[in-house]
Amino acid sequence: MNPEQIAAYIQAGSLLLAAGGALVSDVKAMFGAAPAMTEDALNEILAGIEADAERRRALAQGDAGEAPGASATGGSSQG
Amino acid sequence: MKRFILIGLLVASAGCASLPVKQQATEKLVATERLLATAQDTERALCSPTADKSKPITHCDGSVAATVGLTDARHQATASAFAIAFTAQVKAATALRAWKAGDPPPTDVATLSADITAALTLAKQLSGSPDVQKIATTLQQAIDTVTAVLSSLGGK
Repeated sequence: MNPEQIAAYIQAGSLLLAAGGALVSDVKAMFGAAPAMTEDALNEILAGIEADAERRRALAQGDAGEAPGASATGGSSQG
Repeated sequence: MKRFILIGLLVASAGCASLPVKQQATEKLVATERLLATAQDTERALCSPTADKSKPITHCDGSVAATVGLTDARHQATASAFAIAFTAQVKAATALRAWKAGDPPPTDVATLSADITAALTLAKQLSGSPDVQKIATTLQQAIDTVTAVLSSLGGK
């Protein structure tokens, strides 16, 4: 894959995810090639997942009538 | 913006079978996050389609909510299950960040599957409608994706 192709894939993938309407499975169908990523880059993505999940947890807790920031550990994730 | 570029690079890499294990697992965890988010958004829209998407919904006023049995109490119970599932998602992402090749699969990834299953059980208590079906299907896909994460990491 040449740099222009990589740049195009990054732009297309970023736009799709930023729009919030595409699942990764949808994106998979569009992209076939695979640049390997560094450990640091993967960890940054995982940090992004954590931040998004934290935000959604807070929203769910609000819906559930639980105190914001309360520990949602009533299920099997406890401990 | 940098994060979107990194995620874009990740999804652009999704088709390669020879990717490092951690990259495959991260890609699947991104998919799980998006599936969970879709299920949460669908349930909230079913409960109250006109509600502010960034604010808590304490009362289901949607016309479809009543017909599928999505009472305020069920919405609260489902939201509580989502809160637990997203807590598990945070833990799984944290554990995967610390994970190194050769380590056993993080236990937090395994519990994520169980917590999403709890949310799925609640969703199945609702009557059938396209939106309810979408919630259930999306949660099942999330469970399957977590299973794939574990498989990537050498687990069952």
